[in-house]
Amino acid sequence: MILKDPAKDSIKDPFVPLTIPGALEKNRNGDQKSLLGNQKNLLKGEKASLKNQENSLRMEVKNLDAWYSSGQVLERINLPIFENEILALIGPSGCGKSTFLRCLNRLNDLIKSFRLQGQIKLDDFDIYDPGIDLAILRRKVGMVFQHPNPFPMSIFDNVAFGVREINRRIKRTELAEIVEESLRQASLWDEVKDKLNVSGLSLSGGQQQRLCIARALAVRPEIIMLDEPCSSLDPVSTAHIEELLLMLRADYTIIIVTHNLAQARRISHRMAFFLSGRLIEHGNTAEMSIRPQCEETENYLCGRFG
Amino acid sequence: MENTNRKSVEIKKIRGVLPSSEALFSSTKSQARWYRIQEKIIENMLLLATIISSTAIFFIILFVAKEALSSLKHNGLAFFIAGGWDQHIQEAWFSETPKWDFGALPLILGTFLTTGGALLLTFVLGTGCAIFLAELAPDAIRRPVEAMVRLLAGIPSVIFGLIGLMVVVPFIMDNFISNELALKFIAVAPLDGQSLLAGVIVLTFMVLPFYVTVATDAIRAVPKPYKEASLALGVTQWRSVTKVLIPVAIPGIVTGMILASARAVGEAIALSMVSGGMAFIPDPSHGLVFFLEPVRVMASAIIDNKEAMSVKAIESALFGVGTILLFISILLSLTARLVFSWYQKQVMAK
Amino acid sequence: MLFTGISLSKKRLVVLAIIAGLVLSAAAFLTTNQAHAAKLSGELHISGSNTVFPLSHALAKEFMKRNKNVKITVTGPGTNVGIQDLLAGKVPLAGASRPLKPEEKAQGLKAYVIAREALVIVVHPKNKVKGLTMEQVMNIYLGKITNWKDVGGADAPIMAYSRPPASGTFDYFNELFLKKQPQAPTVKMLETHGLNREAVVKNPNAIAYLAFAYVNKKVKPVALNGVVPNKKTIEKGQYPVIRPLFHVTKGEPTGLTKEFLKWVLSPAGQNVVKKEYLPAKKK
Ligand SMILES: Nc1ncnc2c1ncn2[C@@H]1O[C@H](COP(=O)(O)OP(=O)(O)O)[C@@H](O)[C@H]1O
Ligand SMILES: [Mg+2]
Repeated sequence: MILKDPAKDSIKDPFVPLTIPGALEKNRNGDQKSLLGNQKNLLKGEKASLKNQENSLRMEVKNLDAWYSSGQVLERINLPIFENEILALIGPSGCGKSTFLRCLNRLNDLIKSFRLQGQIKLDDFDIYDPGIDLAILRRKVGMVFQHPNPFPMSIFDNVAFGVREINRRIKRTELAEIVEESLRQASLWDEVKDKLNVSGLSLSGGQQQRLCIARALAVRPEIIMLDEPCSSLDPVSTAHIEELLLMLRADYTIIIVTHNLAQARRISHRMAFFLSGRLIEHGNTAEMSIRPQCEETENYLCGRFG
Repeated sequence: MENTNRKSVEIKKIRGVLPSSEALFSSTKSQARWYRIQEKIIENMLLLATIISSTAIFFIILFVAKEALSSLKHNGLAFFIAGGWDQHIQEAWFSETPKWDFGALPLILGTFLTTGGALLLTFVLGTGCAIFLAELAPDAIRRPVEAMVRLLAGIPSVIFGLIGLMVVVPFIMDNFISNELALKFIAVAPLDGQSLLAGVIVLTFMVLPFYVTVATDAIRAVPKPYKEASLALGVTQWRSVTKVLIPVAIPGIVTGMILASARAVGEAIALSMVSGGMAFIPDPSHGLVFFLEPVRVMASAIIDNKEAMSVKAIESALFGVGTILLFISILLSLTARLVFSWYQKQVMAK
Repeated sequence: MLFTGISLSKKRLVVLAIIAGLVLSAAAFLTTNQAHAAKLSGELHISGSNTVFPLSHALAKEFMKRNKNVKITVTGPGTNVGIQDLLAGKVPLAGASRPLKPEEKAQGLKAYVIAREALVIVVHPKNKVKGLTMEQVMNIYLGKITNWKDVGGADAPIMAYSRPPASGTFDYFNELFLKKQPQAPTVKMLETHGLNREAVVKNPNAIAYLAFAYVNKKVKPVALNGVVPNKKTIEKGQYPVIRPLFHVTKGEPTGLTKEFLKWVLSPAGQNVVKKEYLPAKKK
């Protein structure tokens, strides 16, 4: 496991050369701006130290409002996200969970009609600061989508794509190592190791979703967001992915949107319940399951609607 | 409870429109037969249309090739590799005895040079433009630009020729051709701005809209999740476009290029207006002057010499040029197919 | 005029068609007014010489003004195309800028001189050269003179423009100026008079030959053998290069074609001719 202790492997780590200059140059001026770019510190030093303290704050969402052309979809969201936790976002469909996720890696910037107010902080840096390097933000906050969306490339290239983009001069052996590692983590390796050159699109739905997870893992994000990753999968694939998430939580902060309450209970530390664009309640999964604070939560958890 | 009640009433209301399940069997046999006949008719009509159009193409090829045969037979390979087209036309036209010698090399090269140059420019400019339109441009810019591009596609080639003649040709003459240069080359070819370069520029603007339209649509048609996946990996917008969107859009881009080349190869009027009116082979040893030298393309040669068709030898030679053009267009569409199936095997392996 | 195939404005045709329709129905249903229905009606298409095109066009326009039920379209692809169209029966009438060849006459074609016109040598207005001899023109087109300074101009290359070998005008030029010697390969051959004129407008070093009707202010006609081409010198026959222009039919013309030709040769038609050309008959 290369990922286990990045500090130890720093010499071997293929990302070392690229975390230093190029990406940072843009952000040289100003303390705030430069620090997000200064990934090396965050990745190696701070991450290692933070790991010791359980529950240290990783991201913080403050008074978030969001609008599409259709109207407001998120209202006054306040939610902390902690290091090395699995946070489950639950709520009926259309309540804004996906929108919320896409705010965290600024993917909604793509949508022209989208507008947002409030603050989202990653390690104390406002990610909507104009000086933010989106590429670095998104490398730190990875995402797996609801519908498997492998690129129309070979399995190998799918996983290697992001890595190559980060370090274009990476050695082939190193790249192969990362690809294997990532596929193993996504527990897909055994199924595809003999056909790495086959198109990613030829895999089954469950395999494709795990390929997408491997692809997201390959660039070594710190936070992984998964948007209903199991919604189109069969129970066996779902079980695979749950297992995988439990395994990954040692090294990653995981935010998962799920429709499946049982799944949320099985794997998450904390839950956040969304309803009609508002965050009704969030807290420890076990506590929230047994003693929800709000009536709406209770109704939802008992399966009365949604 | 009340809620569910109301729902079921509504459902009944809607279902009331549907006939009962027995109706499934009540439609008469004759009706079923009529549907089947209808389907057959449509099928056969489509088949007929296919047969008619393919035989039409077949006969066109046959006709053109047959007319060309005497010239091709007489000239053999020389028709494709020998020069002197303009002189041959003059000789054949004024000679008392039939003169069959023709060499279409300058025309073939002319077509390849102008088309090749225009395609190169089109690819570079057009792909950039397509990316801009599909990905980067804000609506306020995109809409008018797109409207303009589509408008450009509808402009007849004479207009392009005219604008080329009024704007491009004088521009080239004023900016690239000095008196000394023209004097130096006067015994080789008149450098008056009507040139390979003018042809390439005008042709580029003629085929660009087709390419941009097709390529923009192709890029836009790339499923959004591909781009989102790439961006979510921390890949920049620009790299996402070039590394993910463009490869996925390749079939559309290739189609656009082939469409563009088909139009470019067949363009006659505009090129005969701006590219020089001389079956001259630009000489690469002249350096950059190469681009300022005149060319005549195959399609132009046909319309420029149509008046001389009453001479059998000229008519046959023109049909020979037509045959080459026809084969190029067939080749183009075959290439399109090949690229497609290759691409499907390579990338879309599903 | 750069286009060779302008038909009359569509709007006018539509209006004409509507008027024709109204008149016809009026004639059919209200028998009282028969006398007012136009005598001549029908369509006529004229093909042929690029040189004769503007003349045929002007004549057709005037003729249609006088005969509202007649529709005449004119194209000018070239003398030889026109003659082929005639022989193939595609058109009943074609313009020609050269006399018929014996074999064409043998096929039953008949040519009528409808006008005469001068072929003028033109250069760019900035060109200092005022006049040339016919021999100098020949040597320019044979590639033996390539610098304007050799004919009294600046030290600049002479760029010569010509018409395609199969055009009637080139035939004439070839016979009269080149004495049937092959034109130099460096002479550019452009499709139409219009393109030739445009080449001269755009190129200060150019020389071309144009039908006089195509000359405008943007080009400068040079004196030939000392005679400046203008209406006077041409009308008086002083200008050395005056040629007849023809309308050609296959066999005896009939119907509308006959009426049109008759009118063209009548004083009324010749008045239209005289606006830009010399009348068919010398004074
Ligand atoms: N691109 C968009 N444009 C306009 N409205 C959108 C867009 N995406 C989502 N919405 C709307 O925003 C609301 C929240 O959607 P979403 O975040 O996808 O909910 P969830 O993921 O919880 O199902 C829904 O009402 C949806 O219709
Ligand atoms: Mg969603």
